[in-house]
Amino acid sequence: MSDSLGPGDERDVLAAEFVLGLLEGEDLADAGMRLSRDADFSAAVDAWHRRLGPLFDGVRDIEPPADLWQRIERRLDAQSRGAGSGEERPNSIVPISGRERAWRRTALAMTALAAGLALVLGLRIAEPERPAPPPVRAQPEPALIASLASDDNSAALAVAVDAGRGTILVTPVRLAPAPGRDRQLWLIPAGATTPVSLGLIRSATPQRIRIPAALAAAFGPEATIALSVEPAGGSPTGLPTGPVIASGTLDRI
Amino acid sequence: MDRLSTNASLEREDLVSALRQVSEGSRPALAEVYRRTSAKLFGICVCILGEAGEAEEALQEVYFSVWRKAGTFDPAKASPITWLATMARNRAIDRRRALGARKAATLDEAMDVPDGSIGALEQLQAAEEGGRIALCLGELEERQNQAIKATFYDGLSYSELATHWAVPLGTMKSWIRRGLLRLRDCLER
Repeated sequence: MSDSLGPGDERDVLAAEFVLGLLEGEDLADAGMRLSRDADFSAAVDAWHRRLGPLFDGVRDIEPPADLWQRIERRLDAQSRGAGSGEERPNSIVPISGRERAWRRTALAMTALAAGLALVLGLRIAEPERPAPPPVRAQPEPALIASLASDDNSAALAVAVDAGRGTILVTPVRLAPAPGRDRQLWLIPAGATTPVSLGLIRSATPQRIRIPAALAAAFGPEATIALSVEPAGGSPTGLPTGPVIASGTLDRI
Repeated sequence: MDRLSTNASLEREDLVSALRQVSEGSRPALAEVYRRTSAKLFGICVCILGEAGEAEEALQEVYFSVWRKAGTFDPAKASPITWLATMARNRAIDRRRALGARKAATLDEAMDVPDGSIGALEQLQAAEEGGRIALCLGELEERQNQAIKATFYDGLSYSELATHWAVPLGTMKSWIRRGLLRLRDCLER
């Protein structure tokens, strides 16, 4: 491949792969970072959006169910109610100071457990997921781990970032049933205040969550992972609406 | 054709102005965007996710994102429908991948032939701009053409494509990459 490609071609291929959603793992993270730093690459991405855009004409229209707009409106209503009550919503994610020390202690105790689990589960879960194993990297980066435990013992989990695969591995250690509610996982990048949803944690089975390209760079040391209790189906607003029951900071093992 | 393209450009202007109003917080403008685009965007989500329930969830997330991100839409860079469709496609792909390997495998069995691309070409040729890209896709080797369409319409990753065509991952990457460069050259001619 590289024999016949000029630098412009390589950039264009990468841009097309990025636009098509073909990139995974480290390649995806690299492209995401390059997008914000490399104007030529960013222009190449725009060009591919323009080129491939007409393909959408080939998709047949399908009418969504009649009540779908009402469901969207309900989410928007819930959001505006949330925004109207008090200050910036993201503040709710900052741990209440009295509890912080307790969290830290629990988190420390859990880190060893989390590291062990991530190693074991990371290997075990990795097997069936890809037909071909990814090439082994000579110098693997130390994994980033966060441990979260709620004060009431209802939930405890370990989160390990696998930058190589572009995924995070979420391993619930404890997850008490919460009828009619869902727990939602959030990322607050270092230095940021606005949480970004990582998805719902519904079962005690370890799960991998794909890191969206735009967030690849945000999974660094000092980023915070938090768990909130939300209505079934997750936060209707895109931000935590229920209590944040646990949080932890990403650290190298 | 003239009538069609006039309609298309009116539609485009209306959408641009509706999106601007959405960015200023107008709920009726969002309802208008939804009215005009939800069938197209739902079609995209169903193509990629393969089941209505997941597609409905994805579609809700899409319009929720539109509500929050309409201000980032730049009419100089993209047409509004491409911007919206891209958002729907990305959201659906994220969801598809997040559903995990097991679910994805079930989806793939269900659509033994990647089905989003069936009939897409005929529909493309009917559309004015689509005619050009349909022509250029037609110039590729058949397998490149099929694989690129399966990626675009069904959201398949390299590894899924390789499994589907039963070729090594490297071979699939090479097909697609060469195909993409030829596609670019044809479109830029």
